Amino acid sequence: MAQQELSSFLIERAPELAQRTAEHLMLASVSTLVATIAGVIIAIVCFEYQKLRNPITAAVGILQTVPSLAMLVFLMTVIGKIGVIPALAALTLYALLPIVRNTIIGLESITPPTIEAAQGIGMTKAQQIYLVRVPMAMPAIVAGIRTAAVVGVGIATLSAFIGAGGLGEFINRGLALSNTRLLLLGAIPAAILAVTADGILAIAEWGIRPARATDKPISSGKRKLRRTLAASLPAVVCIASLSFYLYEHPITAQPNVIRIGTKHFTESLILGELISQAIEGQTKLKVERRFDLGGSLVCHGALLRGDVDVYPEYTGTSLATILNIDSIQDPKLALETVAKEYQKRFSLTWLPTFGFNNAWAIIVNDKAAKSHGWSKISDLKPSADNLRMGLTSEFAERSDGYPGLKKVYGLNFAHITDLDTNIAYRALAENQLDATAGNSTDGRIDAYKLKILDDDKNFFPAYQAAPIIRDETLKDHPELQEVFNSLLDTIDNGTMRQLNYKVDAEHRSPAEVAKEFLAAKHLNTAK
Amino acid sequence: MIKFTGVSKTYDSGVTYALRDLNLTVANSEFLVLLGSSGSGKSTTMKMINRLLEPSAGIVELDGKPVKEIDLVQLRRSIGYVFQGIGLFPHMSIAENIAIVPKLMGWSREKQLTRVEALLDLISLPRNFAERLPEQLSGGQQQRVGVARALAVDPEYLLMDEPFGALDAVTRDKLQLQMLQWRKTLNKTVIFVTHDLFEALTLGDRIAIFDDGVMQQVGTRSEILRTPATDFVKELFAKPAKQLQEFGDLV
Repeated sequence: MAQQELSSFLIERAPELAQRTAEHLMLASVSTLVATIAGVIIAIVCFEYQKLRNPITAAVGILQTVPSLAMLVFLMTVIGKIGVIPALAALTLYALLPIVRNTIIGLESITPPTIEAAQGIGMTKAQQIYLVRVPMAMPAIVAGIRTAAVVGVGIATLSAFIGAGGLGEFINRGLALSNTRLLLLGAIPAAILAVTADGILAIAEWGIRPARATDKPISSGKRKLRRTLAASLPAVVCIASLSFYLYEHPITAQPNVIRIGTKHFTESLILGELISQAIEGQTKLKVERRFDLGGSLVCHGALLRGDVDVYPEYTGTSLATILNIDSIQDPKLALETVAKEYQKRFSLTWLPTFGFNNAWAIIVNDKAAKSHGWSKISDLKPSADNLRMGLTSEFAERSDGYPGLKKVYGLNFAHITDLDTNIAYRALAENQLDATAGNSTDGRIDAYKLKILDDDKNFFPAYQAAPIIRDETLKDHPELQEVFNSLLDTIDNGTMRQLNYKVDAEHRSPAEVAKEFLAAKHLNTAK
Repeated sequence: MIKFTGVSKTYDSGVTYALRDLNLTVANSEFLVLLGSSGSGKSTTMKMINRLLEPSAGIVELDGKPVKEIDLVQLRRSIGYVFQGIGLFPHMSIAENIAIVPKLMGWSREKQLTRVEALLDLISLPRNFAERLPEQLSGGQQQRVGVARALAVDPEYLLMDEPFGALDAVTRDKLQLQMLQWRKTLNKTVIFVTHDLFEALTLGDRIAIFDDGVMQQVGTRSEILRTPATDFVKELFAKPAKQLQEFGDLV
């Protein structure tokens, strides 16, 4: 498929790139700053109370081994918020280890004569530390900070999963949309940022290191000036990025801004854009997009805490992961159940559904279906013992997947292979496979000329998509009800497949695809 | 006045003693040399004055007051301390090194500066050395800065722990001579630790001789040379005397 010219791609993304870079810089620099202050204090405590040293360094070391994503999600739960705060907390914890370790080593490396001199002239313990040990340990401390900063820039790419922004936004979207360009738009600047951060700290290190005999002798006034300038360089970067961030994201909640969340896969992103643009077009409200959140639990948590106001969800997913209720096959009943339970348990409202049902589906080659006369799943039964079935391992294991399907339809396939969906579709298209299971609205179904068989025994649970909204938000902005009413049943399975196809296969942005759709249906302006 | 009464130091609850039952009084303005080989207890004795070490038994008094009862920081700031390792702070300039105690005591900047210049004059270093770093000075120059730092707040007492031990013979001679001059101008009570017999004889008003944790004798140089109290002291001086004799014969 033809892609946009690289130059226009870059021009179009430039403003967002600048914003994300600033966010990224803020995340990495603020967390490194906090970790530096905390780390040096912790190291001094360890140094003073040797008994604490091993437990503390072990604890800090263990923090480092926690997988970054797990740490982010854990802190998000503990802190009870999505966004910048848990991300900063996680990044700070990661930055601690190199700083604490290096500071301890630096503090200990001071030679006995120097310490004896410090004691002998009557320095207090505290004076020995801040007048002698810390200044002399400075090179080691700065080396630790540099390691922490570079690692921080790297890990900060993951904070996009919990809605903290940064260059990870591009990487996440790139992954969700299989779009290499978007991926690189995040990854390359992140790498450049890491090198730059290291460079800035190298300059600071040069400025504040203890003078050496080989240096040209300069007056202490000049030395102090140089020291101040060099040391303030990282601080300037930190403060600048933080103030830019605060300017872009004011701490006080803005009135008349609706925050829309999505998970990080194509369909969720398209629905998020549809909702956002419909609100923007039909009302005077502003929209803040907090897309690409790390999954149903993250989105649901964000909704409960008011970090987002609306996000699109599926009835089947809600039943299984949020409500822990057995799956329901009847779409109407499924919707009624989730709506009732959400209202009762969480004070959240299920808005009108978009119309499609992204249920599991059994998919076959369209040509083969015509020649064999297959139109529903039951049609496969007579020839099943000759057929080759490809399944994802998830579908093969879930009780609402293959095991149940086998029982309800009495299907016994001759060959069953574990396959990735993408490979399964291609194999179907090339007649190397006879059937597979997938999502009903997958854009690739049309692209590969495949066909979905009717679930004539209503085995698969319903997965209708609808936005969920906080009751408070709906009360404050009743005009939203009308917007969502206008979206009711506007997208059937075929339409959703097309929209997904435009993003997945044609590499167009979800925003553009959503815009086109709304314009065609005249949903982009108030009636 | 510094007074030791029944002072002992042991690190293994009395199995061995670094210093055993020391009784010694140092008069004001006296220059007392503690002489002995390494491990003899001379440094141990000195470090108990500014409480770098605490005695296992006995009392150390400064001007009639047990040092244990004097605030540690105050005590150390009131006693100038110079030692073999020199221990200048490598990250501070010469001026900052000399002015460190005045700074800790909250002197004004101008007063610090005036003091640094006066001390540089005293130790015969050019004033423009103030901005240099310790590494940029020779060993002898560094040790003079060490002395200047110890004298910065004009303390009544000066403890010197083998201050010239690491220097070459020529530099050491020069500094010893200068030491004698400083003594005259400064009028301090000095406790000076050395293992060098001739240094002891050159500098000390009195000499206290240590061996194996026990003070063998204390007295003026003529007392010690004429009436050695123990065999150790006798032999200590007999050998160099013999060497000198032989050297004289050769010449």
